[in-house]
Amino acid sequence: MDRKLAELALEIAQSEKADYCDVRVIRIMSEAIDVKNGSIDGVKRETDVGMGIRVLFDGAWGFAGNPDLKPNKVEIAARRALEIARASARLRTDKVKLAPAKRIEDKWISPRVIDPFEVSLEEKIEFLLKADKEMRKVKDIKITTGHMDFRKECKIFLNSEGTFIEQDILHTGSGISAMAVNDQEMQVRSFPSSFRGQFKTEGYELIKKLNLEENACRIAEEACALLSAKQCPEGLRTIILGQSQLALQVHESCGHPTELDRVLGSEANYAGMSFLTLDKLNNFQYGSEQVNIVVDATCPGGLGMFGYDDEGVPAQCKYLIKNGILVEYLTSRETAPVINKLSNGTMRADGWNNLPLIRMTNINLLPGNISYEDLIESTDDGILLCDNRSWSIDDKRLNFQFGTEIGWKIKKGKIAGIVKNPTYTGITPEFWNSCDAISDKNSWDIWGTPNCGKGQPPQTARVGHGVSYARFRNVKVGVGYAG
Amino acid sequence: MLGKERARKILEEAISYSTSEETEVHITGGKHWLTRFANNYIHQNVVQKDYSITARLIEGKKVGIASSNVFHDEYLKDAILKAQEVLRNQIDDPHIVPLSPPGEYKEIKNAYDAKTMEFTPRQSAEEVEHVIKKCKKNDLIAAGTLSLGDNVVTLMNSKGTFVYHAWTDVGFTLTTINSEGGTGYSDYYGTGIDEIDVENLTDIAIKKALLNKNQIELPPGEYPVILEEKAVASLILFLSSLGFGALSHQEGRSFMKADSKITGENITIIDDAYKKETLGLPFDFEGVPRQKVTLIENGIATGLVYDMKTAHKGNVVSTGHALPPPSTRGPFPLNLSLLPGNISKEDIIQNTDRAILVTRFWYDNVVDPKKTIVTGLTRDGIYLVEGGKITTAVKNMRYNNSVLEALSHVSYISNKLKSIKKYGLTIACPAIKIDKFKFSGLSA
Repeated sequence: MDRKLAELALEIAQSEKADYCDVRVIRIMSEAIDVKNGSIDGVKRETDVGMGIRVLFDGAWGFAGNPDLKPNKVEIAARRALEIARASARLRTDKVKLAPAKRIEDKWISPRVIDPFEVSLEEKIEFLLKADKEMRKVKDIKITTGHMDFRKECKIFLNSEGTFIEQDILHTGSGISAMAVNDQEMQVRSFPSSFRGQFKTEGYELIKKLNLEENACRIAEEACALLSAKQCPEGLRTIILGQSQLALQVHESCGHPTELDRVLGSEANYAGMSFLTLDKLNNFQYGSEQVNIVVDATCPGGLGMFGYDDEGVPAQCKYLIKNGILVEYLTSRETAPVINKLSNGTMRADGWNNLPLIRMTNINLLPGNISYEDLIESTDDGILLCDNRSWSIDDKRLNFQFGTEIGWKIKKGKIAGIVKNPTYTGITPEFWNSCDAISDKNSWDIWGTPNCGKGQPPQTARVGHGVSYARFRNVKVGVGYAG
Repeated sequence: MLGKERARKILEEAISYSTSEETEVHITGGKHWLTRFANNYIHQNVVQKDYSITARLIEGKKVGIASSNVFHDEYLKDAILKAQEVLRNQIDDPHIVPLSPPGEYKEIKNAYDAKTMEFTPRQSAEEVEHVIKKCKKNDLIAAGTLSLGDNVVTLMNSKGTFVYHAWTDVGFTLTTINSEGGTGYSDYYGTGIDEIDVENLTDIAIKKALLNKNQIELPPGEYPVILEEKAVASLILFLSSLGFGALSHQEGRSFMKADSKITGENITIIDDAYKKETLGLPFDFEGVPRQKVTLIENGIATGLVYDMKTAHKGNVVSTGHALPPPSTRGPFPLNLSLLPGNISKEDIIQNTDRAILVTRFWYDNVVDPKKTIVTGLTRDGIYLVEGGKITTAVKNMRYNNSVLEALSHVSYISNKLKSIKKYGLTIACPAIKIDKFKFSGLSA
């Protein structure tokens, strides 16, 4: 039925002589569970269904989102998309030309072992409450929370070039946090990472692997200890970024600036542009030789994993940064010809009601060749910064500042206590060129970021970042609390 | 658009399918058009339409919540059954409170402008064409948006509450880029398409970009600043999430200390959905009429916003600030104003010996919630004011400041409010001069 309706939209666009048209019909089922202080805070199930029609007419784009999957409504939406494209064409300069893409007929299902929608709500709540109970055993903990999120997206994609793709993508996420509060401040520790935890393209089996209950007491004790810990010192320091913080560092300072639409100015009014201008491709020392970053939509477990992007281009793995040099951008069929390439498959839309934009898939910092233990042991004086608390970066993606939940002092190769309220700041290429060590594959994992914002109207993307631990020299820390 | 009587019928039918002790159903949605341009042409142009129904069912101490955007014909019953399924598998919530009884609310007039929804994509393109022509004439690149749409929120519960509100909204944003990469900016948010003064807004952004050349570098440090309205809104916005809601106060997370002085005496912040610059919903997502709340009065922490749950705990009455269920963040003020002073923005500049004038901030985020320390960057034009005049453009900088501390050093507040929309909030702000504001580093 969905395919017939999508074909109807295509037929209308083609009968009106559209240059190109693609249609996505999407059915999303989601569930969010929140527990707090030993009881339920919220459980919500959501269904979201609709069709997105994108039309290229006379070299200009039009898009219509339509929730009513009835033939007459589909026809209205298709004609609206055409009307909008005609209006856009009034102001076009050059006609949009799409890079060639193969005609595909395929079905892709993301790997999973256990379907979370088949697991009882009772079991899920009980699982979170067990971890919650462990956190509340620690005196002085004021607020405890636990979260689970599941999302299943079933979509079909058709275009006027004969491609037809079915995909079924399942995401799972979960995490806990403990907050200690006194009159002056509050301190939070989270596990396995902040802001609702770890997210992957997996099934319920992820939840079982996270060991929430086993880590609950520890993070609660750390949150309490932070209240009386010393303030993170100001000055230039050696820092090591923990996995989930490094994931966000990659996201903000490597992922976003390599989006070619940003580079070309499409986001100038909102998300901003990029310091990575086209002249820098293949000759810009982005980071030290240790730094190798790939865009990899094929990476198992990554939240940005899929079979095909929302232009029907197959998932791919490409180097973005090789031995520290910028060698690629994230591209679409429209932007890739600017750098004489084919699309590397990063066009993704937030559901059916938005048009696809260039988005990160999985932007992975490849592991180095030193063990995590040796990384710490070879650090004479530094701070290990773990789990994000605050993030900010300028509209060209150069000046960033991050705060983390906790800092672990490193003295003579050993962890030597904690500091609170750590912040650090830097300029993107200076920072990545100061990277002198990245830990190996034994401490490498892929971390999900389910809330990446971009576009007008605003869209949220779910992306992944494979990282281990990395060390950076002469980084300015403590700036958030300076003065 | 979903009209009031059709909404009533759908909600009545939805409630009739529920077998729970208490049932609340609400619908939100609408249709939105957005024309987006960059590099002097329209590159994205969309229409979006969607409505979603959410049911909250209560049985004893159990609650079930489900949402769906498919609720036509036979699917309406399914939406309710899904909430019932959640409820059946739920454990007890000891903090549950009963649904709201009917309350009277004053309707907000002139919130819906029918003419706005007759505006066509072609007309939008024509407006954008005019903007681009003016920018090109000044050797500037234009990027921006023109958007319009209609919205409905309606709620009914099994205790007899029925509320409905429909409104239109429009928005215009413009970034202008000069040959050095220096930018300018202007924007407008309102109710009707005729309110957008495209001519004037384009002139503002052009002037800012033309001024934003030959930028000088200022060393990081403490400076007096004149913040334009949008920059002020960025700071005020954080107070809403960090402490104006009763839940954050009850949990000890809020900076609000009742009846204590927390800012300068010239600062008064209110939440008012009926104020023309901050028009909002006349009721909340529990169907409770929204009240005007004075949050900070002459520098003293005076009020918080409540929903049913936090009001029950605090032994007070809800102020009508509940968010959609399950509302885990608690009540929230959505229609904030920093009340104006009695001097024009131009006179603030003229009365200033030396200060940095900031158009807007970007990527602001909380560093320390309880101390209200926020960081962010300047964007789209900062300028040095010397001897009462703008003398030169300045390179962008990063700031780190406590919002409350900054609001304790305000020497001027302008006499005009500007409405700004961000993250679902409407915030009306004047321009202000802050005598001490910390910049911690240089930016792009």
